[in-house]
Amino acid sequence: MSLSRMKEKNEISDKDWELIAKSIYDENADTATSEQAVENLNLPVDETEIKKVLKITKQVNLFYDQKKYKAEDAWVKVESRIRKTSSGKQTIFRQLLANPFMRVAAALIFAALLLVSGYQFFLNPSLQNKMLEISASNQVLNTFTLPDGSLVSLNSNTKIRYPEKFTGDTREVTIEGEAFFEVKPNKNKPFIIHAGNAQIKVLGTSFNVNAYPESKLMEVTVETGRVQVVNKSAKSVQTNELILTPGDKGTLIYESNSLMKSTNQNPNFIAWKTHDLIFKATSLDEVIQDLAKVYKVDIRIADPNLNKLLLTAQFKNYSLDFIMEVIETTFKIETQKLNGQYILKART
Amino acid sequence: MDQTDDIELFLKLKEGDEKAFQTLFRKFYSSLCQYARQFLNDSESAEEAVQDMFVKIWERRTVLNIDASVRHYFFRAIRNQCLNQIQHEKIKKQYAGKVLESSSQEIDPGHFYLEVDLIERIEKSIEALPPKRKEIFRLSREQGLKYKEIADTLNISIKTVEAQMGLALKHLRTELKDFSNYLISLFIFSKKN
Repeated sequence: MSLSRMKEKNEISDKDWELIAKSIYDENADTATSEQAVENLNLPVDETEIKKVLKITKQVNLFYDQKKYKAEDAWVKVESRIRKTSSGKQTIFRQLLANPFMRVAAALIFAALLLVSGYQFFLNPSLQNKMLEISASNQVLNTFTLPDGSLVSLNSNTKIRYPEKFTGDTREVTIEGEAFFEVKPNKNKPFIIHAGNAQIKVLGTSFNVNAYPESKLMEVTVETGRVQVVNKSAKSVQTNELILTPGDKGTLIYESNSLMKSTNQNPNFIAWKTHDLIFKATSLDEVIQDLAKVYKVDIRIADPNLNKLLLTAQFKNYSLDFIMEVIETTFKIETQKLNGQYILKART
Repeated sequence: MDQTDDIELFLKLKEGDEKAFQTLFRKFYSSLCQYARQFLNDSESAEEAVQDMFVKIWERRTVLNIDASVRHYFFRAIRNQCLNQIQHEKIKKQYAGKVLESSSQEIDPGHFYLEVDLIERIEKSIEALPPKRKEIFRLSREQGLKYKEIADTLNISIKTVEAQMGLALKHLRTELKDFSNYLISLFIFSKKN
C-alpha cells in the first residue's frame, strides 16, 4: 500500500464521518439532495473518496429496499404451483390398492391394458405421450406454459387438455371454458384448439377463446396474428370456416349451428385476466356487464334512465369497490349491496 | 467457490431435486425482483414475473443448459421474461386504441438493484456492528427515523446518535470497499443484449 493511499484513508476523521452521516441520514432522505449536501460540507477529502461513500449509502438503501421482496412467502406460492401439475389423484389409487383383491384385479387390468396399448403403440407412436389436464376452478389461472412454449391463461371453471409433448405435425389442445392464448409461431406445426364443435387453427398469435359448455355460443376474439375457425359440425361448406385477424371476433351459435364474423367492439375482452378495464364513452349498462364478468358478481341497474349514461375511464387493476365509488361520484348514483348483488339507483 | 456451489445446485435441480431448487430460489429471489422492478411498473408485477420465471425453469428443468454462470442465466431469463411482458402490454395497448395512460418502459437509470453477494456482505457488515450502534443504524435506515426521534426513542443524546451513525458509516465504507464498483458494472450488464 502506497503512502498516498494511506493518507487518503486517514483523511476522513471520525468528526468528518459524523458530518457526512448527518447530512445524508438526518437532513436528507433522498439520495439526490444528499449528494449535494455532502459536497456543500467542503470537507478536506478526496472527491473520489466522497463518491465512493455516496455509492455505498446508495447500496445500503437498496439493501433495505430489497428486503420487501420476501423470498419465504414467495416460495410457498411457487412450491404449490410446481406441485399442481402432478395432481393428488395418486392417493386414490393408494387407497384402492391397499386391498389385496383390488391389487390382483388391478394387476390383471393393467396387464390387459398393456397388451392393448402396446398394440396401439405400434400403430400410433404419438400415444406414448401422456395427456395432461389443467383446470381452473374458482379463480383465474394465470399464464402457464404449454410444451411448445406457448402461454395460456385460464378463466375460472375452465379445463384444458394437452399432451406432454407435441409430437407429429400439429399442436393440439382441447378446452372447455375460457382461455387466453399466446401461441408461439411455428409455420410447420399449426396450433389447433378443440372447443366444443369448433376447431380453431393458428400459426402464431394471441387471442381469447370463450367456450363454456353451458353457454349458447362459442367466441374467439383475436388480438394479434391470424386465426382460422372451423365449425366441425357444419352441414354446408359456406358457413364452415372463417379467417380472423386482429379486431375480429368469430361466433359459433350452437342452436342455429351458424358461424359468423363480426368486429370486436369490446376492448375489455381479456379483462378477466388482466383486470385492465377501458371504457370510452361506454354506456353504463355495458360497463356493469364487463364489471360483472371480471369481478364475478351480480350487478343490476334499478333505474332504466341510468342505462345510457356514458363512462370514459381506464382502471388498471383496481378493486370493484373503488370502481363503483368512481361511478357513484361521477353520475351521482348510489349503490346498494343486497345478498351479494350490487344495485345501482339514482341518488335522491 | 461460490459459483461452483451454484452450478452444483443447478445440476441437482435438473435432476428434480426440489431442495436445491428452493436454495437457489431463496438466494436469488430478492435480487431478481429488484432487477425486474426496473422493467415493470410495480413491485407486485416484479414478484409475479420472478415467480413465473422460476416455475417455468422448474417445468423445463430437464432441458435447461447454462453456459456462463447460474447468476448470469437467471438475470438474463428474467430480463427476457420482462421484455416479453412489456411487448405484450404494448400490443394490448395498441389494440385498445388510444393509450389513455402513458407508462414509460425504458429502464430508469436511477433505479438500481443489488447483486446477491453484495446483499450478503451488507447483511454481514450490519450484523457485525456493536449492538447499540446497530440498533441506532437500523432505526435510521429501516424505520426512517431522524436523529432526534432516535434519541427520544432510545433515551440518549443526539450527540451520541451523531457519533454512532458516523462510526457506522465508516465501518460500512471499510467493509464494502471491494464492492464500490458494483453498481456501475451491473448497469452495463443490464444494457447488453
